[in-house]
Amino acid sequence: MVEPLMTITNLKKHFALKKNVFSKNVIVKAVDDVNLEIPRESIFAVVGESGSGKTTLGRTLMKLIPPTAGMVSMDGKDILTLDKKAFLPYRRKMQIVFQDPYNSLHPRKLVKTVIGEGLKIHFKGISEMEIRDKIREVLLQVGLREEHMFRYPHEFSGGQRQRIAFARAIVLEPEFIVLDEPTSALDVSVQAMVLKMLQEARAQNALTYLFITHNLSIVDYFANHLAVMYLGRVVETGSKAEIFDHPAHPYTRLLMNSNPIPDPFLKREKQVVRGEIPSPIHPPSGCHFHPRCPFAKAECKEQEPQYREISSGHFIRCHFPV
Amino acid sequence: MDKRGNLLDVRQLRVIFHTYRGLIKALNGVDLWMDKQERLGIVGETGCGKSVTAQAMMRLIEEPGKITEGEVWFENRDLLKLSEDEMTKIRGREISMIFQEPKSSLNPVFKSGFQIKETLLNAKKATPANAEEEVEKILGYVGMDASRVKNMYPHELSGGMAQRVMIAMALATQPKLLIADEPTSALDVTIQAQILELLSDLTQKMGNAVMMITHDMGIVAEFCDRVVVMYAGNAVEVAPTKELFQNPIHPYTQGLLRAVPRVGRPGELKAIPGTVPDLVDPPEGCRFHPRCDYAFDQCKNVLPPLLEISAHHYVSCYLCQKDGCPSAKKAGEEPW
Amino acid sequence: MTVANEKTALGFFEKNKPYIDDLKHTVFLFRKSKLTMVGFVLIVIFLLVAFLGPLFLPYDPIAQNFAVRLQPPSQEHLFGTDQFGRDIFSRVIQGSRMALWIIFLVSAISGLLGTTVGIIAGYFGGLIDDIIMRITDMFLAFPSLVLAMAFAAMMGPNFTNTIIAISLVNWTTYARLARAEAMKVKEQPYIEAIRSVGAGTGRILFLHVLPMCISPVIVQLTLRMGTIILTAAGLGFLGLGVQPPTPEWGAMVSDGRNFLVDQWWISTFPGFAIVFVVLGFNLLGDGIRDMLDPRLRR
Ligand SMILES: Nc1ncnc2c1ncn2[C@@H]1O[C@H](COP(=O)(O)OP(=O)(O)OP(=O)(O)O)[C@@H](O)[C@H]1O
Ligand SMILES: Nc1ncnc2c1ncn2[C@@H]1O[C@H](COP(=O)(O)OP(=O)(O)OP(=O)(O)O)[C@@H](O)[C@H]1O
Ligand code: SF4
Ligand SMILES: [Mg+2]
Ligand SMILES: [Mg+2]
Repeated sequence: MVEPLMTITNLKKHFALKKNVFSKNVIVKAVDDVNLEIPRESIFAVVGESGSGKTTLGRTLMKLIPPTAGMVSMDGKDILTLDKKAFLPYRRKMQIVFQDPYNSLHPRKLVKTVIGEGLKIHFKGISEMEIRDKIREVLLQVGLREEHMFRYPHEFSGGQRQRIAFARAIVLEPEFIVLDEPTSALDVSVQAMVLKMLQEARAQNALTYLFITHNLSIVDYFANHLAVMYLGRVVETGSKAEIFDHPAHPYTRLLMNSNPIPDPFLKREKQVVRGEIPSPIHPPSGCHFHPRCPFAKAECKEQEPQYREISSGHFIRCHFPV
Repeated sequence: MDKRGNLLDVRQLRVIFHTYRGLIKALNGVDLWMDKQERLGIVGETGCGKSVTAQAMMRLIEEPGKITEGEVWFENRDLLKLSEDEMTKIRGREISMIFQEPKSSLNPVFKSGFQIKETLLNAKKATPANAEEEVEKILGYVGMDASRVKNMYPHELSGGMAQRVMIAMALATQPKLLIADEPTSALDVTIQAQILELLSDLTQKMGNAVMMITHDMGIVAEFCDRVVVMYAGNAVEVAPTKELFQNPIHPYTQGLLRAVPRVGRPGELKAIPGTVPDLVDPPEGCRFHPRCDYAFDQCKNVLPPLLEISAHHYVSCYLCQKDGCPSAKKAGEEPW
Repeated sequence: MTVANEKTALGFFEKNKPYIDDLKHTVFLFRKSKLTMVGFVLIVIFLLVAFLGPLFLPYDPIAQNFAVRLQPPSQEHLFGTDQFGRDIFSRVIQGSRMALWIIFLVSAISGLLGTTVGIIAGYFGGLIDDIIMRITDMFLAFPSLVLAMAFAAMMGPNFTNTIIAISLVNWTTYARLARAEAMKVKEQPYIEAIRSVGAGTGRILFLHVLPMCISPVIVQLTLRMGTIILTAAGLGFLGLGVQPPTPEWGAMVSDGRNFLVDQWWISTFPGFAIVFVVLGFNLLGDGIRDMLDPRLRR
């Protein structure tokens, strides 16, 4: 197997929530013991419902928030323990695009400033002309035009803003980009354009994506690896083909089954599972999914299932995989 | 008058908004109709006027907006001609609405049980004596633990639970029509599936018609009998669901369907070139013409009428009058 | 290439488009409110008088002329004369410039100080924030005039100290405002995005957070200009402000208070001037606040 670009080992991120002055802190285990290997030049999708810790995983990887425990190594180096200065080159190699196109660009800055800022930070002594050249180049690459450089974010539509945010990331020539639900705020036709642009840019620049989403249809179309998260834990991971063909975790199956399919001729038994998503503050004992799981037995309630490999590269966290 | 639907017939509805940017021509003569117990889907991209259509039908358009033209026939009354008092009797009793953000549609200072009770008493569907009992019964219908939920405040409910309470309130009065404006867009997929199943079961049992506003083609395919596709303030195509998916005719509908990713069907996604028009200064004629591959001179002048091109299949596009429908031209290719 | 470059040359209007769009909308709301327009007109008159008035004074506002002591308003002396024979009309006009200076300097000093302290507190939070906020609490615990009096009395009454005293009383308002804004802005995704590109704290604070905090502070500055004038006049009246013979409205009102019954005009006209300007700023300020009410926006 090829050496993975990024290896995540036992990564944890816990938040302490203070309810009020009198109660003691409650802990939210937003990311709990996550182990993943992200192959070079892959599109690695992370799916899960709201609050499952997808964004937190991305932000922790990017070192935008400090981890509680665990290791993230890139090119064989543990990046989370590096100090500010030693980390700076990795800052450039890893970029992130956020979900909300309306708030992720500074409203009072020209597009040129938004994209060019990173260049000024990472390439000391770069001239104004070089900056413009690079910006022009990436603007064309994301399907915008040169003169867009001198406009403000509010003059652009949501899809165009996501392109600008993506241009800001690729102008630094990174290797790895976290895409945090980059299309969930966009209309389908715009989404199709943005996804296409992302695919082309990846091929051109040899990029690796961590693609966060809650839409399984996009995963099928876009990704080649997949991790499913539930309440802070990765419950299943593997290649996309393997998981779509043989989903082993009951939650993965539920997700796939709940995903509405735009085909009125398709007859399928919709299996709707009762119950709400539990609060991440007090997750259920044992397997977090047991209260909603159709296969749960007593063991599931008492014992936390181990993270184990059921076939090559296909990992799962479940006592009774299907 | 000749009605196209026996429950609802909306004709040439026009709505404008006065803003400092100028006049927004939000609805440009919308036509849609529904039969009793039918499930109609309204799809289209952001800003195409789905919500405004629903609001206009309920006469809920407020300053700076105005209904400038149109008729909304509901059974045998034109809702736009009723007095405000008569309209109040229709809202919430004969036509109910649920929204995308259930929590902000509930009053934060009252317990959910109390709010359902008020609705029931208002609509005279319960007496003070049996109201409490009715509330529990209704909460039971929407699959909730009545004794617990009726004493909860809206902020204590999760998004899915709040939407159940909203559904309970909307259906408590046994309306003839339920308008659901993106009822599941803010919910997770597994919860969305629960809510859709609930809506489906309840409305089937009670015999309400449902107008489902959404931008998710998957929900349309799974939930609706018939679909209205909207673009920039017009209904551009109206057809039974299967017919629409199998034989989409308006170039916009075709583009929309090609852009939808779908499990088990990898391959190219095709985007519609261009962007949605600014409704302050919309294109003349067919509002889709600047983005349309087939557009010709006629398209640029006058809005094409919504015509029935085959049984129950209506399209607003000149191609169908010129040299056959666009799908016919691409024989051999899959519709989408 | 050349074509592209021509296009990229930035006009003033393109460069300031967001501001101009905001302004257009503001003007749209502005014209709807009559009272705001009245306030606006009053302030324009005040500014014109302060800038141009002193160039056309009928008399020297300081020179004493005992021959015309305590004259009532007449053709020669529109507002009459005071106990030293000085023309009150000329003094009121000259006083407007003093008032404008005070407003300008106090706003600049307290605005700058308040914004800087505020964004630091808001952005860093924690202990720094706690300390700064407790200090502002202390300032806010006293009525502003009382506090200004205390400072002015401590430092000695003159023009510079008046400015310092009033600024010291005022900066806390702006500090709290800038702090609240900075706390909001630092949570925005675009700040995290800039961090993810590798920007350091100083860069984020001054290049990205600061520009977002300035406009609410400026609005608050206009809202408080009336109060500044009142405080300055209060200090002047109590003899703790600008010293005679420099014409200052508060001090002029005070000058006339022994003659109030028989020579009413000495106190009355500078008093009117104060009312005129304070009213103007308050109407304008209220209008601006209403306009920025998010419910009326967009
Ligand atoms: N800064 C924070 N402080 C406290 N708790 C947090 C913080 N950020 C996230 N959390 C909590 O961590 C959990 C995971 O949140 P996260 O945003 O990672 O979820 P997500 O999977 O990205 O969800 P979504 O699909 O809604 O974006 C949630 O319960 C959230 O409330
Ligand atoms: N209160 C309002 N003031 C001004 N313009 C409005 C108002 N409400 C709606 N509009 C305009 O009317 C048009 C249609 O809006 P509408 O809310 O119906 O869109 P929609 O199809 O429901 O979109 P979405 O999928 O985003 O809900 C939009 O262009 C919008 O800008
Ligand atoms: S461990 Fe048990 S409860 Fe959890 S998913 Fe597997 S079978 Fe279901
Ligand atoms: Mg997230
Ligand atoms: Mg809407």
